[in-house]
Amino acid sequence: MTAQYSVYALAGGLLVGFAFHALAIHTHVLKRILAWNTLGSAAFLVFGAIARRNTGAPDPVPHAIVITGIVVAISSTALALALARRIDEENKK
Amino acid sequence: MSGALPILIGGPFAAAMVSFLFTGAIGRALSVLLATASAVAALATSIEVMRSGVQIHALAGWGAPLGIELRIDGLAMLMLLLTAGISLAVTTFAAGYLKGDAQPHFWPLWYFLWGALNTVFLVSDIFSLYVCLELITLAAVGGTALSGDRIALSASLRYLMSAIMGSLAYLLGVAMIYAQVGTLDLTQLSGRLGSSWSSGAALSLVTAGLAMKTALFPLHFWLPAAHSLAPAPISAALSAMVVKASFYVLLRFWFQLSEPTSNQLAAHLLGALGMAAVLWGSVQAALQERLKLVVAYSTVAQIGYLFFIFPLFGGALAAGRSEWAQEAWKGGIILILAHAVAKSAMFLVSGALLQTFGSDRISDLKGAAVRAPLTLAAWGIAGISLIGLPPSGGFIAKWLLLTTAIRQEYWLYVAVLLLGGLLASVYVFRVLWHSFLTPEEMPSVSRIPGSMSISILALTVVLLLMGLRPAIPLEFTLIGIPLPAGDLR
Amino acid sequence: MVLDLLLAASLLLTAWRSLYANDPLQAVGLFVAYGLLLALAWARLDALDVALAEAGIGAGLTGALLLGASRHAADRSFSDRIASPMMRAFLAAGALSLTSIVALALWSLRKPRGPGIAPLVSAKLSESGVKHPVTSVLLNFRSWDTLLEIGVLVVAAFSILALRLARSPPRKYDPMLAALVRVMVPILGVCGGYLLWAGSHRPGGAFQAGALLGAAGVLLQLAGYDLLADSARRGFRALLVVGFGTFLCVGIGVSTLGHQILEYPPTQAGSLIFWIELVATISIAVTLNLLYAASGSGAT
Repeated sequence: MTAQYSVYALAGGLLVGFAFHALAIHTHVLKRILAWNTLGSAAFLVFGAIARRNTGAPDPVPHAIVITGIVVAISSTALALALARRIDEENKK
Repeated sequence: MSGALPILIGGPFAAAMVSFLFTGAIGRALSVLLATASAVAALATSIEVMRSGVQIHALAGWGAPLGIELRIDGLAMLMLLLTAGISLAVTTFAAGYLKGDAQPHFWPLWYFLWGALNTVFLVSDIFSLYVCLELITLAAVGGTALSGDRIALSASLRYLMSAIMGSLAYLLGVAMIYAQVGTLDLTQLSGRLGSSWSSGAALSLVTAGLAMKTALFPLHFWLPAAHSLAPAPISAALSAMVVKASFYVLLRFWFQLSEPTSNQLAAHLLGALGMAAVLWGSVQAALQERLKLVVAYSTVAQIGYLFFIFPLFGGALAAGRSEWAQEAWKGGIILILAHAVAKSAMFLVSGALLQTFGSDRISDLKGAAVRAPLTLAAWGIAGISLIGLPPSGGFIAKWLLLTTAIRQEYWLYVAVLLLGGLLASVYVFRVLWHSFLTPEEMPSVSRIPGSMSISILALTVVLLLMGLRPAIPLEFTLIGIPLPAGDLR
Repeated sequence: MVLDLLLAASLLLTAWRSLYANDPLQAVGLFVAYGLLLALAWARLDALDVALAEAGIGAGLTGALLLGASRHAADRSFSDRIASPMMRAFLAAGALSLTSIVALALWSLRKPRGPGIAPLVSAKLSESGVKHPVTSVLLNFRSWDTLLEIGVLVVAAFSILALRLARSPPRKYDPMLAALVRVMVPILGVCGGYLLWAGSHRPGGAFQAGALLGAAGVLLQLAGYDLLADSARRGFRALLVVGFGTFLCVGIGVSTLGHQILEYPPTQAGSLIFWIELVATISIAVTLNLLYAASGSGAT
């Protein structure tokens, strides 16, 4: 185990709690989108901590996974924002 | 290795690209050709699985755990065949159903959804499954939003949010499993997770996330609006296939990764939620005024039955009776297939009735039995399968589940299985009853294109065949299922 | 270690402030700050590739998308929360138990049970056609994931185009901005090219390069280029899907030569990966721009 693992795994765990709470308690679309992005980044941070668990060079597989995850996250965020914008347009009609 | 596999995978994706770039008649024809080739390839691959058992394909030539493997066993094969069959029917239906400027937007999304469904059933890697499920979600949400009105858009947004929450829970679980075992390959993970505290936490996260995506009661809140407001072909795909994709992943985790006997308590929790889903969904379906909402709530109910497989299977193994476990397993798989076929038929029927009568209110269906007898007959046959009456796929599935529940003396499950059938007959016959009423004046109808009728007819024929010749799918359910209990292999 | 603790603490603080801010602009601003801190954390974790992707895509472009949306979100409902005290207590308890479960599970996993996949990656790196481990995983060992991930971008673009959004009114000509664009776009282009080239042997690659080129496109949009107007053109559509299409064709194509799907012949792996990354970068940049245009950020 490396000390970095404990620090970032714990931070990831706490961020999961914050983000889950914010996601559940808020009703505004933008707030919920922010919360799920934070939740996602917390899960990624957990992967990052796991990659650093062994001493020596970090495990590249979690890093590749996180890059994939980041791209997936922005895709769904953009779709959600576009949907919200379209709903706005309909409301204004 | 099967030579058909590249076509099976690439076909729908290529069709999506082609239909996006070339919206004219040639583009349409070429994309249909590519997608049909994929369906044929699914058939060819299935024949190979039948002949020589489980097919494994090491993507990029590396093999697990460095690379990602595709693994086609009996269950995966049945799901691929189901995807191919239903997708062909939906494609045929959509060609007649969709009008105007929704068409060019529908096809790329639809073919992408088809391709993404294939990948979930093929891939044997728990992170890759995450990407495949996200691909499905985004395509499905885009398809749902095609209806374009405000309520449908809000339903799509809620669907997207719920699905993403589910995915993130799943992803966290995957991180913990990787931390524990150091591989992402399903086959290599099998039996290596153990029953430690952290593996319990990981499996709970995965299960909760997938239950959200599968819309298990009470996490179903997003489903009725999304499934009923999407355009009919998309509704059919959502209820028939998309919720099954996440359920399929859940099956893999429960039966391939963990020891099914070790978490019987959790299995009964899933079973209890399933029972609640059956009762709640069926009652709601019987109360709806709009046809598509009836069908959507019926999906909530039918998903509930699927979750009976966990306690029934685990209970049988705990009692040391693997033949009972086999019944539960077979019953659950046949139910996935039968529900998918029946439900897609029902949504297509709803779409056809909507176009024939210009309304999907049940009260506006008076006289429909005279004006659209074939469509209503298809509704009736699909309904018979949902209720669980012979001869239909639904009957075989419910019979198997009922038998194993009675043998294990799980009377509550027996009661809900019977009661659920009764409630289903209420909402199925309510629609038929309205259609036989004589209206003051016969409703004016518009003729529907032949392609729509053909696709509905084909689905009902398959449904009846499943009831008359159940031996074929039943045999396949057991090919290469790597269940921890050795005697099931 | 002290640095890590400080970084973790500030991550938690900015995330908390961003999630519970009452003003949309402030919430988004803090989210971007959080993303940049996160990029630092990734750098501390020896994951420069992820740090670049997080800074460019996670904080930068996502921030730009959200910033546009935040302007439309400035209504009173922004800080609305679930009202029922019972439900709030239940959710707080749920969040607390979720955190404890995750944290405890991760703590119990602190000792590695084995080396994982990392030694295999190092052992096979020389056969992958590239010298940088993360790129070898993304473009060769687990290329299937990357193919589907580019697919996710394509599907997002399809879904957004299917929404048929109203076009934003044209922006006013701003000479300062135009001057900035003339300087920045070529710089971003060169940097993106460098990152793409660097990916084969050091941190960098298609996604990071795509993000930089995407940023160049965003600048162009700010200066008045209307992307949605072009979205019906076949040339634009071809650019959107050329990355996924090429990747798919190569992946399926090699299987007709007697290889497995996506299995590159070892002697050509390096050049195949380079070409795939090149076209993927173009598609990623174009798609990210479309995502930006659709979020409403271009609207004045």
